[in-house]
Amino acid sequence: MTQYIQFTAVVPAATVQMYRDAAAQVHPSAVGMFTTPLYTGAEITHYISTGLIDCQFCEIVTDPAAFAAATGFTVEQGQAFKDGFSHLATGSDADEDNPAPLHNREAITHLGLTLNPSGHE
Amino acid sequence: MLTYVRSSYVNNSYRIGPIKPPEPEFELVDLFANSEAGFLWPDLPYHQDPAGTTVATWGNPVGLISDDSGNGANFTQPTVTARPVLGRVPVSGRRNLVTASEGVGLWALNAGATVTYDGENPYGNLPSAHVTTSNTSANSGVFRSGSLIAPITQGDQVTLRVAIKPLSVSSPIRVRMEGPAFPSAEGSIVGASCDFTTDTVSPIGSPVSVSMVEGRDGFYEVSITADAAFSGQVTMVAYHSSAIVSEFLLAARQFVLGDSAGPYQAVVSYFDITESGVDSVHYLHLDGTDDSVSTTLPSITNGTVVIAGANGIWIDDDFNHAGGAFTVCPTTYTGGPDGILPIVGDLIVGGSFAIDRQLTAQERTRVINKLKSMGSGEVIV
Repeated sequence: MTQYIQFTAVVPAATVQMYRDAAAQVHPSAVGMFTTPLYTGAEITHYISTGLIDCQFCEIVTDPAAFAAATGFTVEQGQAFKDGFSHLATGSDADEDNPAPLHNREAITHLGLTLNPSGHE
Repeated sequence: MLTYVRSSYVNNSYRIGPIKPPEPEFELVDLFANSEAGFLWPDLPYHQDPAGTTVATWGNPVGLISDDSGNGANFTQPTVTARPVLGRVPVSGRRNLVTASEGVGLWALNAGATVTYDGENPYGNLPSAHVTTSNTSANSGVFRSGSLIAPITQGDQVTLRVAIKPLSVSSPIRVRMEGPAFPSAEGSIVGASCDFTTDTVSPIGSPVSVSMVEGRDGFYEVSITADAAFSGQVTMVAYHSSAIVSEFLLAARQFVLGDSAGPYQAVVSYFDITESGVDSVHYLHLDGTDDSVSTTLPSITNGTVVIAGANGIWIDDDFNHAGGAFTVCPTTYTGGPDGILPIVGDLIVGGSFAIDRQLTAQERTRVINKLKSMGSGEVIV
C-alpha cells in the first residue's frame, strides 16, 4: 500500500526544466510536476508543486545519495538538486521547537510570491 | 403511472382500487436516460491512480473518477501531487480540532514513560494508547505539542476532553493544557487532577471548570474548560507528578471551541473524521493551487453544468463547450467563472455533472434536493 506524505516544493523558473525532468525520472507519477507558475509582480519567477506524494519519492528527492542512486546523477549533483529548491516542505510534524512546515498558500506567501500576476489572487 | 392491484389489506377488510406506487428515488443518472452527452461523477469508489488499479480511501489522492453517465468521460490526473484528496466529515460539521484522535503516534513521551497503541477503545475504531509511567522519574507521562489543526485565539473558551481508563493507578493522573496558549512561564497552565481511587477531580490552575464522569467500559471522561490565555497552539499532557509506576489507557481526545465537548468525533486524519450516529459527507478537496482533474467532452451548446460543494451548489445553465479537454482545475472549470470553486467549497462525491441540454424545472428541483441530501449547501446565485 502506498504511503503518502504532504509535499510542497517551489523551484526557480530558471531551473524548472531540470526539476521537471528529474522528478519524472524518479517516479512516473511525478510527470507533470512544476507546471504551476508563481509570480513576482507580473513576472513568472518560480513554479510550485504541492500535494500528497509517495513517501518513497519524498525520501529520494530530499536525500542526495538516494537521488543519485535513482537518477544516475552524482551525490554532489543530488545535493545541488536539493539545495536548488527555493522552498521544500514535507510532512506536518511540529512541536514547540519546530513550527509546522509551510505548505501550499502558506509557502507561497512566505516567499513573497503570488499565484497570479501583479499580486491578484 | 397508476397501478391497479387486486387488493390491499386495510382495517381488517379488503379494498379494491388504484394504488399509486411510491415514486422511485431520483438519481442523477436518471438525467442521462436518453443517452445525453456529458459526464456524471459517480458515488464511491474512486481510485488513486488513473489506471484504476487501487481504490482510494480517506486521505488518499484521487487519480481517476469514472464517469457514471454512460459516456466514458472519465476524469483523470496523472501527476500525483496534483490529485485532489478524498475525505469525509460528519454532515453536522467538524467540531473536534485535534490533528488526530485515533491511531498510533498520538503521544510523545516524557520522563521515562512508555506507550503502546494496543488498548481497547470503546469510542473509536482504532486501539487506544496504553501508557506506563516510570517509578524513577517524576512527571512521567505523555504529551502532545501542536495538537490542533490551527492555533486558537486569546480569549477563546475551549474544552479539552479525554477518556482515561485506569488500569493500575495509585495516585492522581494529571491532565493539562499548556504550550503557547497556556504558557507555564505566565502561570497559565490549566488542568485537572483526577483521583480514580475516590472518583474525584480537582482543578489545576484556573480553568473555567473541570469534570470527571464515568464513560464507556471503565473509562472516565475528563473535561477541562478554560479561556485561552494567549493566541497559539495547545500542548496536551497526561502524567503523574510522583515517580510511580502506573498504567492507564487514553482515548477519544476531543478539543472544541466552547464550554462543552459534545459527542466525540473520531479524527484519524484531516481527511477522515467521523461521528457515531451521524451521516458523513464524502468530498474531494482540491488545494486551490495545482490540483485538477480532466476529461474530454464533445461539443456542447446551451447545456448545463452542476457542481456541488460543501458550501453550495453551482448551476451553470448556459454551458457551452467547443469540444475537447474539460478540466476541473484549481479555482474554476473549463468555461466557468473564475474563482467559483473556492466559493463552492470541497466537492461532494457524486455531485457534479455536465449535460448537453437544459434541465426542466422539475429536474432542477430534484437535482438540488438530491445534492443537498448528499451534504451540499444551498444554491449559489
